[in-house]
Amino acid sequence: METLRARFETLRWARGADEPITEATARATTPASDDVVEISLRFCDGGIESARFRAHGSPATLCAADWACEYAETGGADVLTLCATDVAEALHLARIQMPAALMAVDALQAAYRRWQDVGAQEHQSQQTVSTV
Amino acid sequence: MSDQSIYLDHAATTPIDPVVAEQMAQALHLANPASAHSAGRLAAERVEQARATVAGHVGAASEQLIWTSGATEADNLAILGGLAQQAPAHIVTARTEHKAVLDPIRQLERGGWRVTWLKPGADGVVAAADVLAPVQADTRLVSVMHVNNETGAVQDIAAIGRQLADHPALFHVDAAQSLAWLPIDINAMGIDLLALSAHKCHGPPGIGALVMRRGLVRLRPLMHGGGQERGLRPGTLAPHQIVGFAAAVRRLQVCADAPDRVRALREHLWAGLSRISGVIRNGQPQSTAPHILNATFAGLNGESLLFGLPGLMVSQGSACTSGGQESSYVLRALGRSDAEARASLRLSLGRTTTVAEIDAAVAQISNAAARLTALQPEAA
Ligand SMILES: Cc1ncc(COP(=O)(O)O)c(C=O)c1O
Repeated sequence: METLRARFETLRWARGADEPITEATARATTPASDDVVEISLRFCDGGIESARFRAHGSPATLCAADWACEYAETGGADVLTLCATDVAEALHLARIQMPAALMAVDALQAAYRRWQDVGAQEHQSQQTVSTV
Repeated sequence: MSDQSIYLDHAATTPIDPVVAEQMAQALHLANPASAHSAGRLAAERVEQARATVAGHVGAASEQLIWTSGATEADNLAILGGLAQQAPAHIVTARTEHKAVLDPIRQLERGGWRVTWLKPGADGVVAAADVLAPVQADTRLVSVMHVNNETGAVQDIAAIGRQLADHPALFHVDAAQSLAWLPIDINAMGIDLLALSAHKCHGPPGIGALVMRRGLVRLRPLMHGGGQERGLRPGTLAPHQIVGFAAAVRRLQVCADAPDRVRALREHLWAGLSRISGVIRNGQPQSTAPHILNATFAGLNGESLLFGLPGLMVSQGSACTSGGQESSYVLRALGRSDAEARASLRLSLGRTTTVAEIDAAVAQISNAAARLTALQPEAA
């Protein structure tokens, strides 16, 4: 069973100081608190090469963002079918922590869609796509 | 507690002093102090010696002290027992009192009592003049704690007591957090009812005392039974707890240099923490008890900050562990926002705290704060 504490200790998918923001970047926020999740994707050969996050908030928010990045980068799965309940189950989140899972999924899927929408065009801006 | 952990939560409870534990272990074999036989008389003798010790430490005589299960019970007995025989009238207290005071007063408020809830200044202190200002002819109780359990703010009890001397209102003081750190004299400070607790001064939990002004007879018991403690607090006394409380008080007298030493350590702690960007101190060094430092780490999430400090035993302002729970009402009363109150830590030192522990705590908190800062998205 994955614990928040164990994941919080590493947060391996955090975007480091030397890793620049990518064009496929999106943020999600929540009216429940001042928490925010930002996920940046990098692509190669039509697939996700790397997924990195920055976040402010509770341990659940940081861990959900980290988990979503791991899923996107290593799962080879379709990120657009990921549900917040998948994140919540994987991290054993309590009901009250559900906004954390929603933000992580929203930021990830929005970043992915930005890459799809933009296609081959160059696009530098980033945006906050959702408020859960 | 693991070997590497650093305990900076002495305001919650203090580790028992080994000398105290030793004396308690021996006292476990004592008989019921209410028994008339020689074993009972021996137990009663020990209980009375302890009573004289604890009462004497706060300038009172033995007959002014009754044993309770802790400060919570002493507060309840003082407030509910002190006002039991009276028709609803007026009470003055502060919003920053401990729940053991707030909740019985709220219960009286529901029963028709009018309550003036005082707001402290930004330093957590309620000025004596502000306590006196709302006192009216029908004010029956003024309840002000000596040292606040979250910020360490010290109230000028003597100034309040002096000015209430000619008023019939009872002056109740919760001194759970001050007993170990500041001198208390019930007469010189003009206190009518004083609540004490042993486990905040390296004694055992589960024992406290209510000390009353000489000649005070207005109290009604909250429980009824065998008539112990002059009927004010019936139930078989626990001699080992009582002996432990007195032993802890004697140790305070032996360790009389502790307050100055701990105050210096606390300032050393602040010198380290103040280098963290966005940190705000809640309280002024000159008006806080030696053992408490409360700081807000503005811009950080308090829950994540605590999560990043698994080896450090500290607490958030209140028992606020996961999102959605109430943030510290004490810090909000001082003007902190909900987010700031959640981003606050109470670090409380004890007389066994070392410089090495403080240095390690500063390093851990600085690292945890730096990590959270690095994780934050750049400003949008
Ligand atoms: C100021 C204050 N009052 C009362 C209490 C309650 O004391 P006890 O645990 O002895 O009931 C505490 C401790 O939690 C306290 O800090």
